[in-house]
Amino acid sequence: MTEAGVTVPAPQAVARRSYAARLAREVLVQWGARLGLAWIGLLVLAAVLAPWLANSHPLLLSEQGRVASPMLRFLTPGDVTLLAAFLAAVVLLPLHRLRLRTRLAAFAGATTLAGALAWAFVSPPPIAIYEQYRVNEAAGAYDWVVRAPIPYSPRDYLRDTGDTGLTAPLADPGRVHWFGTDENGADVLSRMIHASRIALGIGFVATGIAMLIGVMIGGLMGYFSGVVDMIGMRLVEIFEAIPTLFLLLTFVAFFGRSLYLMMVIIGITAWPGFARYVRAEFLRLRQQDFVQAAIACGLPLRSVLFRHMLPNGVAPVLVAASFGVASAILAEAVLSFLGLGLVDEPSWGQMLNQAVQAAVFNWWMAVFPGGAIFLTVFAYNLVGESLRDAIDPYLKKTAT
Amino acid sequence: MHIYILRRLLLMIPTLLGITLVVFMVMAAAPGGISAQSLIEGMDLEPQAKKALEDYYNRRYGLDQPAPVQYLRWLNNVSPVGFTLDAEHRIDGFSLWKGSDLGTSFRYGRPVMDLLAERVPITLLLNLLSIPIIYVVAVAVGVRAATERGRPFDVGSSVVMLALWSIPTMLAGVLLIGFFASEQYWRWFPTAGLNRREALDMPFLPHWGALWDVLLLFGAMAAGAAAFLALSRWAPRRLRAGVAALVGAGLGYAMAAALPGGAGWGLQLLLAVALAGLFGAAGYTDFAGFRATLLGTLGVMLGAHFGAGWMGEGFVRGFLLDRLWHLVLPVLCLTYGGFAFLSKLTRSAVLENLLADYARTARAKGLAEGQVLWRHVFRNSLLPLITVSASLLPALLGGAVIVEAIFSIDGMGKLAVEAVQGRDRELVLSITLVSGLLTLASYLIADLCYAIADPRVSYD
Amino acid sequence: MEKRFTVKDFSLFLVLALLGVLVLLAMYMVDRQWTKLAEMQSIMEEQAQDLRGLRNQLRTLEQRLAGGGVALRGGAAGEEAVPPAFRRAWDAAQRDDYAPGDWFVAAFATGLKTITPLVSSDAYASEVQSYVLESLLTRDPETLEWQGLIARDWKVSQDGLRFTFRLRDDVKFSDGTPLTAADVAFSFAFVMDERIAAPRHRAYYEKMESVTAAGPHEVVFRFKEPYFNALALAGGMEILPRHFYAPYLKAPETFNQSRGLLLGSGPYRLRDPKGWTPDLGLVELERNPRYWGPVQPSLNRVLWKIIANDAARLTTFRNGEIDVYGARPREFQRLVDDRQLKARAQHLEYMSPTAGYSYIGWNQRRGERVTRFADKRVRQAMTHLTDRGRVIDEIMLGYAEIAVSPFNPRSPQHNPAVKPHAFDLDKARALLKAAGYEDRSGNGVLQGPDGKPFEFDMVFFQDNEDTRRIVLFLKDLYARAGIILNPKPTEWSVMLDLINRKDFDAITLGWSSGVETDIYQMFHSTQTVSGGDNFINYRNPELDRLIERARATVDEAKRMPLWRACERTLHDDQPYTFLMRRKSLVFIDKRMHNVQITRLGLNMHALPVEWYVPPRLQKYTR
Repeated sequence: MTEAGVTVPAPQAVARRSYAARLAREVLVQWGARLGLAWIGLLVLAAVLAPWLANSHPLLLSEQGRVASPMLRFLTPGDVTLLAAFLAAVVLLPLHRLRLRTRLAAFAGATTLAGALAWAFVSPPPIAIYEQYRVNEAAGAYDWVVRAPIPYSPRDYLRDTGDTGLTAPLADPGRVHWFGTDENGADVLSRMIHASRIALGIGFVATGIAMLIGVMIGGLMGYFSGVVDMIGMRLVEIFEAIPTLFLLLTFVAFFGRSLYLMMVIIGITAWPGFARYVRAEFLRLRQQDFVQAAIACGLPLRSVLFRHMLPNGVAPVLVAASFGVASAILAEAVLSFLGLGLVDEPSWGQMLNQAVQAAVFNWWMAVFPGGAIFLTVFAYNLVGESLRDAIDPYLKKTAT
Repeated sequence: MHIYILRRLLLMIPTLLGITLVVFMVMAAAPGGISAQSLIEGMDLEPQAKKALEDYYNRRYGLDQPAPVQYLRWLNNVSPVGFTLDAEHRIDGFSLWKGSDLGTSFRYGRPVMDLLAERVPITLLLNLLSIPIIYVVAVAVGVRAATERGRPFDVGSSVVMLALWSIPTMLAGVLLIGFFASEQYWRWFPTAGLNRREALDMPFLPHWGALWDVLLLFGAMAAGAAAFLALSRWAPRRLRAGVAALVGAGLGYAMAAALPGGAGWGLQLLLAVALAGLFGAAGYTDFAGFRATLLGTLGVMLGAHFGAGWMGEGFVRGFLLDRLWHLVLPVLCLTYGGFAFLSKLTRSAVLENLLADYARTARAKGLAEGQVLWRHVFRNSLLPLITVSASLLPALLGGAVIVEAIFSIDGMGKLAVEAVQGRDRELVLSITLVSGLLTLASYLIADLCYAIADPRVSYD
Repeated sequence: MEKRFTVKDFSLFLVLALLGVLVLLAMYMVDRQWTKLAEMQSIMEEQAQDLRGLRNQLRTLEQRLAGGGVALRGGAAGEEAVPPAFRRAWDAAQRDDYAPGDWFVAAFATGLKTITPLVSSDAYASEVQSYVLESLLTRDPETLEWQGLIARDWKVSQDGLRFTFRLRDDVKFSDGTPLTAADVAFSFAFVMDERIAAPRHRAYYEKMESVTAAGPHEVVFRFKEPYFNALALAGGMEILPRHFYAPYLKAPETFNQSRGLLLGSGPYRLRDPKGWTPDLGLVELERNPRYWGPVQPSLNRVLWKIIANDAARLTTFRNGEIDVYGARPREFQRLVDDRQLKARAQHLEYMSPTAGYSYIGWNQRRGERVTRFADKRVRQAMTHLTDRGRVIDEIMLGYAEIAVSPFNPRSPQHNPAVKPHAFDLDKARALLKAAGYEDRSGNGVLQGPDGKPFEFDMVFFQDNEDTRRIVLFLKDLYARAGIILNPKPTEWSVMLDLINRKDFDAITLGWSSGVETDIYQMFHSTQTVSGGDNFINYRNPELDRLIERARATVDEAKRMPLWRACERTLHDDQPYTFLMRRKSLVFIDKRMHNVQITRLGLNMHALPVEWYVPPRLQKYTR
């Protein structure tokens, strides 16, 4: 890599891309990574298509000859933006000939545009009465109805069926709940599908925040060393010495609960790991010729740090990020489990909590949401592991 | 060396200050924050009484003062060196040995020191039991995986360990408590707490009605252990795998039969096959230590089971056994994540050293592979394990929060959750201080161990 | 090379460590034996002391007999010896299968901080204290009349401001010291001492002017103004032994921070009246061997274990480690048919008169802004929209009844002619329309006259599953009328803060009630000040007058019509939407006999103790 680190941009870009491609290939040959990525892909699909997969609003219905789609009418701007972002990614991903940066920019642009349009023009009715369709259908008001595969919304508490609550999977002959219902009577599978959005969102955003802070502080520490390093290390030590969970608990209990706050908080508590990695990497890189050359050329600090050093030191950060996503998802689940998470919003941890909250052990509340947490964390760990194996040249050599 | 320790101890002070400052800032910046009003629970108060109570708390904890002043006051109280105050909270002197006062918990109305003195030992007990287990399992599995790199044991163990590492503690706890401590399935373990009330009146050690019973029980256990160890040691592979699988199948059937509602044949078959597979694999494996441990434990347990069945009346479990019985599930929950992580680390450390030049030299010298492994390679592979041990404690403390919440154990983790939920300022601060202290101490100990294990390192 | 750490060293260290652990274990064992011995010694000493006392009494009796100075009482001595307060316990003790012995084990859902009287603030601590401390009077569980416990009888002055109690002369505290009028006077003085952290109790006794000992066994309570509940206040005051608590006036902080300073004259006592600590994880009371009462308590011990987790509590009950379990409706329904449980437990459902009611409070003024709930029509409409019948059927599974007003429907405070507002969507819509709320934009949501959508936050306590479910249910109910409810689950301390600042739209909470409910705190307009209990800013001058008059009327016959007038006003105004009164649903171990439901509720913690365990069922005592 060192020979690529001269100031001529074109070869560098080529070398980097080829490095990235090589890395991707090396990761992908490992079956663990494949399985992990497959599960994450499945989750992404579930998250994006949640309104189509699990919804009380029928996808299509015909009422006295008039065809309508309540599902589309109740689509939120968030749903639309997510779908647009997903489609943009699907379109852009195979375009190998475009540069990564261009593709990223196109993706960001498309998403922002779609988001702005969605927020401007999509406005679902503020009140949803879920049982109306079932009541109307029973009364014979519809000619025909096309329902979602799981015809229950995450917050559809089945008010038309009277007493609802925890029922085991397929225990109710009248309704089909593959994974049972939760304490309020909502369908567990539906809630799990919608909860995958929160899990993925928290994972990505919180890790992004942690990475940003960690890279900044770690980079500065590694580059300047000396006093800055000393102070920075104390800061890292401070945040590491407090058990993360205590810190998270304190933050959440004192600042209340909201999805975005939770992302920020998990991000704030997770940065020291990244800072350590980046610092070590930068301390090593600083001695190398291409950095010295860049400094000698009188390039501004910003350029030295982020254009020359960061791309060369980013590999271990990627590994840490993969594990970081896993632990961020876990952190959200733990908070929800301890009763400090979101309310009414579906979340895996909160569902898991219900397994023991009720006086009898409800195995389906433990096995399914708990299993989802486990599989997701496992998937990210598998990917991280493979990434590490691919990056670490020493183990690569010895992995015979 | 002493100078090094001293320097490290001095360096801990700013870190500790930073920790408390971070936590205090979080609390002070929180919307609502801490006010005397939020401390007054219960709604059956006349307004003037509420005012009186509020004033009382304000006077007591100085909550009406600005946050920096509160922090400095708290800091002065906590540090053993500082200003002494008179009754009106005015400075009247400076003392080097005034002692530290962690304050009084809002919620509990008790000195924080007392609360911590009650709770910290319980959490430490859990952790001190967990750490050796973590290390033994991690070293056993990790070293084996490294020596057999690329073979089925290595691949299998690394997948299993990664999976174990990914299981959230709360899922493990919920499943364990749900299946093995509930009336609906198997009631093998207690659900909550650290001992039963009756155990407080029992003698400490187990007590038997007759000497004969003691002999019977231990005899049965020894016989079981001997039989299975012999099986594991000398029997040919097919035989030992077959016998182990048979025993496993029997146990699985017994388990299914023990279900309160009775089990269908499908479940019986499933359990029998699963356990047969598990024990059969244990019998089949080449890994002699692993095999002996598993089969030996199985033998002891079978012996204990039958021995206890034949025993006469008059057996008293005793406090110690009762406590251990309560500790099984929590400790299991605390350990599996740790050894999963550490075993992967051990594997890569040992692997790195096995391929190092000095190992090759040792082999070339004609040393046996076992000697190379344990005398040379293992010693050097200990270093990363020691380094990591420092970060094990914060992780365990965090894990204790969940485990204690699930198993209703009154340790520091549960106290932390209660304190945070009740916005108990003094308690939250003290708990973070103590956990920070413990963590920093473990960093220091890890560094010292590093120095002992690696003669090249000198700190002078 | 010498410094190297070899495997041999390691095994040496291992053996040393093992030895150390063994030594520690041995030390621990010896220590336990010591404490046991010390306990036994203290019991023996106590018994020796009692024996000496008995011997002395016998001796004096002998002398008197010899002197012929004893006037034998009438033949009715046996009957007369049982005061009415002990009548029920006495009857239980006469049954064929009655036997003293065995323990009663219950569970608390949260840990206790302290069981010191006055300092403790939770219901759990007062449950424990009720076994140890006694008061002058008790309420008869069937007639609800007051009857003497420590008081032999009492007189009320003409103006209702002076209560004179004559005390029994044979009452002793559990350490053997006799209880006198000075102790009663001290109890009041102790509460009123500013240095003791008991502001709540001080507020409670605010209407009391003084308590003085008029003789060794006569005590006089004076009140500042007439108060309908004066007798309950005076007769219900717990009597603290002066010799035990008075030293703490010199060290009030020690008392305020104490955890287990509990000594009294009641049927049970702490083994060590100063030594209880919360870390024990349980509260254990033993029978007071010197109990003065004519009927000794049947159970040897009363225990409370602390089990926070609901599931764990049920499991411990199933295992027979605790004797009583209070279930939630859903659990109850499922467990009633549980074969295993049926074999060892009896189940009871009853309406406890003191359980109180739950409600939704509509805040009429948030900050400086008058909310939409200041309009009476809106509040009435909300009540009409709240389908309480369905809430009770589907969430409480029928184990509750609709609350009409703050008054217990079985008390004379309630007028049976007042019926709950029925669920009526059309009427609610009409009321809302009259108040200016209509769906103008056609998106299904009502808009007010100002064009804003009808949307509000509902604050509730997050950790109660039933409440959470009710709020979610209400959300769906209100949605049908075009009203958006945003659930705001809140932790307790934050909720108190919101209440103090009156910073909420609507809140759901519950009030517990006594035998006769006083509504001054919740509905009088003077209580709208910050920190007051009228946190919904409800003001009605007419109701204020009615409440004041009712409180100052000592004569019950005149007071009840006033309460009923209050009820009528509240029913029309609907400052709260009164939700429901829950039934208590409990499982009790079948060992316990003489379990009865009285007008005061279950006689579980009734004192004198009425439950007993027949000899063949006794589990802890053989």
